[in-house]
Amino acid sequence: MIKLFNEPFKLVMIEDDEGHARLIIKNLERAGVANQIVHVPNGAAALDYFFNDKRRPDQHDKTVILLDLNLPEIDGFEILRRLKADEHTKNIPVIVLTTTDNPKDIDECYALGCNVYMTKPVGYEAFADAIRKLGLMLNVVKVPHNQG
Amino acid sequence: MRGQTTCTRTDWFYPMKLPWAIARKHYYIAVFCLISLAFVTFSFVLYKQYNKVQTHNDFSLYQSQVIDQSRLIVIDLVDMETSVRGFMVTGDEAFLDPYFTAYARLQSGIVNLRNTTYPEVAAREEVNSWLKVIDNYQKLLADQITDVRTRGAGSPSSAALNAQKAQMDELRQMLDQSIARRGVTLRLQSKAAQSQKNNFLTVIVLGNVLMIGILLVGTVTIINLEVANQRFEDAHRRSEERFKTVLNGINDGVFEYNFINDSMYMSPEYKSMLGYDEADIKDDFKATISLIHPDDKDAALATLKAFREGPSALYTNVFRMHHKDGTWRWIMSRAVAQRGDDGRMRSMVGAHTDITDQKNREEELRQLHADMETFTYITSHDLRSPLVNLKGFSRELDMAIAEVSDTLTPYKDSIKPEDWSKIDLNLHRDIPEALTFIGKGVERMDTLTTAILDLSRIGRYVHRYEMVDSRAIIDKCIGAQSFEIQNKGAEVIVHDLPELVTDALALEQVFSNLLDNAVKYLTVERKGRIEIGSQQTARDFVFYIRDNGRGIDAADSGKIFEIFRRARNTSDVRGLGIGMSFVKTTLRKMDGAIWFESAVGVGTTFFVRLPRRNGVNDVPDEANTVLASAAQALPVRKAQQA
Repeated sequence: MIKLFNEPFKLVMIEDDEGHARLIIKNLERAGVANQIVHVPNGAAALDYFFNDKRRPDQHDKTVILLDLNLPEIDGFEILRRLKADEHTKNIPVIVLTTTDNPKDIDECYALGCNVYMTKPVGYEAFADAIRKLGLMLNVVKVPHNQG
Repeated sequence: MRGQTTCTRTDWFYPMKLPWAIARKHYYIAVFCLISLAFVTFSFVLYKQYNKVQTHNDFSLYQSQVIDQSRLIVIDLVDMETSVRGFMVTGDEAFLDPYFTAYARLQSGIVNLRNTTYPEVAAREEVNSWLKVIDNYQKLLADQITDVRTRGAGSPSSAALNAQKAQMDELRQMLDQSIARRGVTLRLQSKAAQSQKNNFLTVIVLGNVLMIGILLVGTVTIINLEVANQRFEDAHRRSEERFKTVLNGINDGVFEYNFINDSMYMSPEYKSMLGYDEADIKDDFKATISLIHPDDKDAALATLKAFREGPSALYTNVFRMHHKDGTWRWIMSRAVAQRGDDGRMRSMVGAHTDITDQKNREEELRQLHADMETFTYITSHDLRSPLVNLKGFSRELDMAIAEVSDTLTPYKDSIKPEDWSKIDLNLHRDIPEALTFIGKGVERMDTLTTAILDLSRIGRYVHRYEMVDSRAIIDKCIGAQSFEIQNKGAEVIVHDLPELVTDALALEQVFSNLLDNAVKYLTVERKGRIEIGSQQTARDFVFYIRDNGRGIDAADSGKIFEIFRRARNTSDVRGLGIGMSFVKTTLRKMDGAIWFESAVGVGTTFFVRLPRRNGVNDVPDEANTVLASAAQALPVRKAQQA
């Protein structure tokens, strides 16, 4: 019998711009998101976070990833590719949140297996509004049950 | 070569025209045959004529021979009679000597006459009849001799003499008649012979005239032909030298591919272009094909096949070929078809040009263009990222200041008035002012990066050409701006506009920007009037949008289509100087053009030229998504400016 899974999840935000990270966290909090938010500042740290040697199989249960594409060195596409190729991480929902609205990039992300693609609006009001809406959505998101 | 000369000034160099399309060598053979035939005919006629004259001569000879022989017989007979008469009178045997001599001669004379006249039947019978008479007369003479010998000489009886005389007369008469007849014949004959001789002469003269005539005509024609041919060959050689000089000068390799026997000619330049010597490449088609880059081979052969089977007279193919040094060279192959009388392609003659340098530059340019697009795209995005921070934290600061202000205000009285006035100045004037400037700067920065992004998108925009009613598009643009138009109390007049094959979305953007400008820059000095119309030429459609607005200063004419720049007399109207550079770039992409005529205080007319197109193209789906997002960008941006 499958238990109803209703525990709060952890939000892992991979974002190289400290300012963006702060603004996202602030606006999510304003939208009432009380989940734990882990900020990972670059691609290398993200790979280390998800694929380090000491990880436990259930370490990434109850996790949702917020991913920026334009990261220096290791970019968001590579992280997405690695996440979706690995048995332990492929079921983690990935929300791509980036400035790029190039149709090619959007298609590529969905092809790689991202679950949601959002663009960061440039106007601050629109940006704050988008993050708030994301927060409202996260409030009702259910994450996959660990099967490992 | 023949085909070319007929349409150039060198036409007259071509050899003298011969009827029935006879070639020069055929003409020589014909002249030779004609002369030979004339010669043989002439000889034959001459021979016939000669034979005729010869026959006449033989006949004359025969007649005179017969006459002579007949005379000899008469003389002999007379001699015999005289001799016998003398003997009869004298009885002297000596008188008989002439008789015997004549008698002997007579015998041979008669034999000769018989032999001579033998082929002539009538004459033979005549001679036979003579023989009888001569025989009788001889017997008579012989009897008289015997009689004198037995009875002795004395006066001969008159009877004997009479008989002798009668017989003699008869004989003489017969012979004389025959001689006379033959004489007449001979005279007639010689007359005829004379006329034959005259004919003979005429034939010789005529024959000679004819022969010399033919020879003359033939020789003159041959000389003419040779002269013309020489001239043609000179001209040909000169033109070939020119051709060669040019080819050597531009270093193109000439080839000829013969479809009939599949042979291939390649000039030394053709081979040296690829680093090969004359003997290194076999002169055949397969050897050439094997030098083409494997990736290009199929396409190159397909192009060749299409050319061979198609109606086009010109062939152009571009492919890489293997150089002896191991590199690949880009070759542009151009050729023309050579067709036989039946219209089928016999061969193609053309030249190879090494376009490796151009290709490399082209590739460099393409790469540069791609880099540039990536650059503008990434730059505009990366530039926008910090803007979010600037705006976001300005807003945070704004909220924090408001909180600080709200928190501090209740304690206003417990602060020294001069300190409070400083705090008040900071909280309510300086900080909000600073935040406003930051905000404006960010907004402007945002607009500029967006404009750069939109411009880069025009570059990727794939046009979809279809039949478009330009009137409907203008109406749509007018509709979108009807509020502004009514607001300014302007009048818009639209003349007849054509249907044309073009990209509807791009056309709408162009018209929308032009109409927007026309409305925006109307002047308050007079009632606004905007006129839209079109003209058509064989190749283009030219649209015009004429306003009676403020006009463009001549000094500003260069700025109009430059991005972020505006004319000097527009400061009262909001704008960033982006619209017209979009329009210009969009039209350039559509092979069109834009220009204007203007006078300050009178108005401006913008002209838009679009080429006539026949083809309607299908845009692949992948391109459509780019197109859709790019196309939406412009009107949105424009709306923001307005």
